[in-house]
Amino acid sequence: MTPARFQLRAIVGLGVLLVAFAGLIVRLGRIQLGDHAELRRRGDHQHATARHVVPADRGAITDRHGRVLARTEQWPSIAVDPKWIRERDRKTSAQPLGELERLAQIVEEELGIDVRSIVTSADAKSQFVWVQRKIEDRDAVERMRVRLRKQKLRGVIIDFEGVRTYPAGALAAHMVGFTFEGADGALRGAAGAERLGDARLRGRPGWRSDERDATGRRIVVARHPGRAARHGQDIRLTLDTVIQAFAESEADEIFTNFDPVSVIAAVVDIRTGDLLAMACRPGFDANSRTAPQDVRRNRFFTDVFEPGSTFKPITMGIALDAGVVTVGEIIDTNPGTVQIGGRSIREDKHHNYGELTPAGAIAESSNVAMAKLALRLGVDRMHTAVRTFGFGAKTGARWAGESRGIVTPFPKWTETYTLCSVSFGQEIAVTPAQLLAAYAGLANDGLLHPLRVLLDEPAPAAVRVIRAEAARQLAPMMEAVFETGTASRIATGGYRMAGKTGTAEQKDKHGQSEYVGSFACFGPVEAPRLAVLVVCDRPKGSPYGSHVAAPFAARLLRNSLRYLGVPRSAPREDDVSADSRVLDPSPEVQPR
Amino acid sequence: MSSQAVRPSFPAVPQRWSHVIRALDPRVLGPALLLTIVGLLALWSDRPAVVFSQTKWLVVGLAVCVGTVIVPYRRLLQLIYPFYAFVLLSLVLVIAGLGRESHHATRWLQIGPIGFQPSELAKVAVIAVLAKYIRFRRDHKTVRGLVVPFLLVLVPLALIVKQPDLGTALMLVPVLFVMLWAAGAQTRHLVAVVVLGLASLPLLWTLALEPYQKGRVRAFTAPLVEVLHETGEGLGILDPPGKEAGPGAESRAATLLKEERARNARDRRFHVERSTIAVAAGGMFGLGFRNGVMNGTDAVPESWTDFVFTVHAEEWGFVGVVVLLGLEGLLLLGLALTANEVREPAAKLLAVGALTLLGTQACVNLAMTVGLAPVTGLPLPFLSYGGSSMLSSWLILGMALNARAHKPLVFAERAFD
Repeated sequence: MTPARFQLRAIVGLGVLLVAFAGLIVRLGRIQLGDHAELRRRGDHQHATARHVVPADRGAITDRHGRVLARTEQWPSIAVDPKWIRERDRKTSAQPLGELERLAQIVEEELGIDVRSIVTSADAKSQFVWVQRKIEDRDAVERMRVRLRKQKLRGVIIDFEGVRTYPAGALAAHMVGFTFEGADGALRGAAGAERLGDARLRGRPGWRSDERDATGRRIVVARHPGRAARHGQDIRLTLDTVIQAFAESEADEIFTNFDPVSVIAAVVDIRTGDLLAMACRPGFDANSRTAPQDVRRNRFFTDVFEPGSTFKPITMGIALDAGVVTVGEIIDTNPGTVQIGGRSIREDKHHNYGELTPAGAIAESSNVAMAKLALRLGVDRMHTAVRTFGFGAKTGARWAGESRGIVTPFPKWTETYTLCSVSFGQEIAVTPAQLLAAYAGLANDGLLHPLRVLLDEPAPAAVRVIRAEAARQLAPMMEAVFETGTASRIATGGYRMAGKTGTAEQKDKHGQSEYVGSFACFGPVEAPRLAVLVVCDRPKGSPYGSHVAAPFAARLLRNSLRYLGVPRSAPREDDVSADSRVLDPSPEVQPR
Repeated sequence: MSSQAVRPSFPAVPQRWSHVIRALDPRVLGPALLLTIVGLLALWSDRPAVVFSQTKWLVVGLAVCVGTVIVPYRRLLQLIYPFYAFVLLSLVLVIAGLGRESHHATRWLQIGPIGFQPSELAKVAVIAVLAKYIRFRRDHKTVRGLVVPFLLVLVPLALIVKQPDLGTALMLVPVLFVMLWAAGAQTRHLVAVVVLGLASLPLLWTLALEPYQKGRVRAFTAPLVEVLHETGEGLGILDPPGKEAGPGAESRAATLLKEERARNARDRRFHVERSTIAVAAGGMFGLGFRNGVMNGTDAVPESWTDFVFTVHAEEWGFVGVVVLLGLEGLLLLGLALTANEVREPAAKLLAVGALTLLGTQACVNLAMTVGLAPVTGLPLPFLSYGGSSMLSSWLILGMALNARAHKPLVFAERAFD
């Protein structure tokens, strides 16, 4: 054989190998570059037969001090493996009691569930059937587990599933909100803080694949494919459960005494806008899934009402800020009515308060005086100021379903009607949240901190609603309400309080009068800390804010201030009414 | 060296060490070493625990390779028949039941502290014995002359099949044909043998094989596509032996056997799918070193031995695969150049044998990994974990390189003319 011939054969041989290699390259290229997606999909669908979601535990919701309002607990769920149990049962059929019978007895004794029919009626190949999910009695499940293990009975599967529980029950239920089960089985916030903080609470579910080989044996692959769940973070609300409890008890008392449609009692820290308490009646137990939607609604943010007289301090504040009125000025309200553009505005119950100081106008709640001040302000300034207070816009709380309230659009404002009506709280609809925030702004030297519900979120920028001097002039006028005005017989517990009652009249669809009694206040006047709002919607009997709201609001404010350790105000020398304050609905809470 | 020596004798060690150094041809050793490193990287990813052991075997393999180069191949070839006999004896011992069982096949033999796979040594032995036998002959150009070379290969082949290790056994067939062909055997003779062999298969099938053997062969050769379509119960690839006992008398043992075999077939299918998916996961650039998701798991069974390519392909992607195949190509090219450069026939044949064996084994292993060939236990030379495989691969390489180190002292006849 010549070298040339050998070379020829070598080349042919190498050529064959080359072709083989080329074939391999082509095949690999098609797998790695072409069929890539297809094969990955097959990988997911054929072998990763079940892609299980590993749920992320939803974070807890706590009050500002970390007291738990909502959390996720792990509750046992039990399932059976009917195939296994039936097989074992056949093998033990010789014994007096088959395995199924022994197992079923234990389960029945501990949990009161009969698994016999579940096992016998299950599909022949079935290896997993839920018996009962999310069992509250963990001890019973544990006893069952121990007994089953002792008797070497297998085939009952215990798995733990996250259950959302609300340890505080009805306390702050409207604030905490509730969840619903999303399409992926994970809980989503439906309302309240559960919804507001959903992004942080939710976490990110992980997943794992149970792979099965061709014979159906399960292969749990340690590292692939899967992803660990990232559990949700906890969120803190600005609420303080103690103050919340005060608010709840006031709301309860109003609700039982006056049988209104609804009650709202809320407390805000004026220096930060932190909502410390918000109690709403009718209430519901957050653990119950059956409360009607109407009851679950957080009226504090969603419902609007005509504030009536509680709006007057805002008008006065705006007037003081604009300099159209001075503290010592006399406003003539004779003869108890005023004609404006053909419209006759009169005082409540045809009173005639005569000549009033601005403080007197607030204390006596004079409509005429307010209308006169409004005329001095004019439509432009009044509208701008009302909007600056945040009426007609959502508060900074970003509450789902929050109402904007109703402020007449500027072009439709008329001097005769809109301007004058708004000045004493009519022709304007506000949410309790807006009104409380506005009061907090008045109390905080005219610097309004938008309401805040989530403690860990940065506070939105404060808004100057009136000048500090105007606010400082306004506070004593509102204090006069407690001294000589509509709330003069209400115990303030040694704190100087400033407030305003309101009783708004509305006509229902049958033309009957309905009333919303409200009271908003803040204190202590010398260094305000808290603002409180109580709204009592359509109470039975006397509807006046001084009756259905003021005593409770004052007590709520007083208790809250005391709880916070705010020192009582030094008694004022001209204070002579202390002994005559008899409208205190109940003894004070004991100091802590 | 006695003066009565009847054979021409050669020095036991080379007279010039520079020959040895020249023989360590970087064109061959370079790709081989790089391939080993690629293999070590894959092992590091998948089974860090075996990296040390594999490195140890690499050192031993390299030592053996260099050792093989030092001793002139003609000396080695003088000892080839005793070695061949030893290998045959080992294979017989393994079948006789002295072997160690692993993966349902008996392939290991333990002699004192040393455990090895005789089938791996058989590869070396067959190449060497063929080189020695054909060396100065010309009768392989006749049909009659083909008988002995065929027997030299078919006897160990049959013994290896018996283990059973069909994969390794079948590797010997291309070695035989290519070496004969390179030695100048008539192409038409070899083709005729192949045709005859193929033609006789159906005859063997019907006459010689027991039903269960048919089942085995069918299970082995059943195209994967066909297996892929099989789901659930019996694959219908077997006639259970119990059936002959009478209708309805299918024994429990037969049922179990049937299930077992069906499961084996499904496992095989599962194996290829897993590995194909892993390879596909690599994409163009791979998941990155030590990032393969199948690492350290049984997602791809045997991913550190026979299926080590899967790990490589997953982590380094198509780019890495092309590099690996390029290295294989360079290695084979180096061996081909060696075969072309040496003039002495035995040396030429050793190089050709090495080339054929390493090339075919790599091809079949890769083909098996990506579902182009049935799954049989066949390691990827230089990459798969395993001492015997590593050792035999380097030994084969050493023999091929040997030829360059020790040029004949006398002019031999021109090869195969």
